[in-house]
Amino acid sequence: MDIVCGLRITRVNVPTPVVVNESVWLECDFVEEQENVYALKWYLGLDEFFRWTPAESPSVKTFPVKGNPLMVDTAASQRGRVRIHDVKLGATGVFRCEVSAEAPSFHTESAVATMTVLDLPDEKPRITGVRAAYQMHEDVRLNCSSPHSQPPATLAFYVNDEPADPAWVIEYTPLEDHETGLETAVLGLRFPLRPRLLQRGPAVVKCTAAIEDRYWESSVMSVHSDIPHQASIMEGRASASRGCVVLASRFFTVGLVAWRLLHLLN
Amino acid sequence: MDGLETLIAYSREGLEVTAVEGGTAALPCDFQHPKDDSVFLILWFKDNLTTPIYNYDLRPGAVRKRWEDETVLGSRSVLDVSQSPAHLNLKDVKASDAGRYRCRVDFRTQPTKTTRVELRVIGERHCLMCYISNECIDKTIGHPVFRQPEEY
Repeated sequence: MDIVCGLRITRVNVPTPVVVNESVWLECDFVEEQENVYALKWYLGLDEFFRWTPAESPSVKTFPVKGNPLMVDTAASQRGRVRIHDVKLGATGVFRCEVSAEAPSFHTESAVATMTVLDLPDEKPRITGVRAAYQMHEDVRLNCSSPHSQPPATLAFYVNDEPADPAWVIEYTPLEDHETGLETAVLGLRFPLRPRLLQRGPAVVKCTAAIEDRYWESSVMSVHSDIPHQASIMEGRASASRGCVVLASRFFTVGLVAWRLLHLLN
Repeated sequence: MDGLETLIAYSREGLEVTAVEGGTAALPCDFQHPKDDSVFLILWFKDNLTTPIYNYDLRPGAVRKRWEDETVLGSRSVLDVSQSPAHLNLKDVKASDAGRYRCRVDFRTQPTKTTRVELRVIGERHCLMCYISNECIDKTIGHPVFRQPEEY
């Protein structure tokens, strides 16, 4: 028979997300109406790691969980409130608070809450593959990686402070370190270096890395063109594949005019 | 117990026990513990009931050691702790006994152990084949249920 009034859980709170090595409070509040608590237990998944039995001495007992992802502060914990230090990745999961009344009813209630533990990247996102200089219209290919996190960071590219054209972005599966379970997020970017991008000097590529609302970092790289554009026209050194540049140099001897035309073409 | 009525199988979700209506069901419960530990309490829960249907209180000074919820089990249950695993033996199984059972064992020093068992009850006529071969075709689920090993 279900008892309508009696011992009942009023609130279960587990902070989420939390970052590795942080300390947290797990809270399980209850009211005792005509029934006293025999035992309050906290489980992570199926494993009991904390027990409060007020009639016993000591009243608080703790149990190791596989991989030791939780360090219970026995002295600070009482009733349903449990202090955890040094949370590890393995503590990601479903926490269950189970409260049982004393004999004769042993009326038992339980409630769950989920915690996600984050392991943040070791360092800022890293942009690789950028050369010292590029020719006009040449493809710029680069990668951005955010090393060793769980979950992998969400990466995004900006070119001259505008979100990169989705057609330029190349998605990769994160690389997993099998020893630590940490992942390195990688995102590629490939775009033609158009004069439009160089109007205010070198093109600026920014990569941002984010994990939920607990991590945000960015890195910036400048992309330069190798020869001042005007000079390349004057000297007629542009390669045949850069058709519009070659044409321009044939028809206009004054470099400045060619420069303007190019802007119109792009 | 008289053998043929209870059938046991392991499904992905855990233990599954099949019993014939009118027969006996033996629901296993893991209460194994090191010698230097002891059992404090065994609680059996059924489905979503928040009060146990059977409890066995071995704590020092416990007033009433054994108790069963007669509205659920009648007086049909016996908890056998003479061997490991323990069994909740349920006589004269009724169709309404089918469901999810959970046995929770509290120890003095060890962490709690929970055994989850699904009890399926089949009508007697569906299981006539049990007496012919070791296989029972359960028409309610449409696949064979194998006889448990002797110790169950």
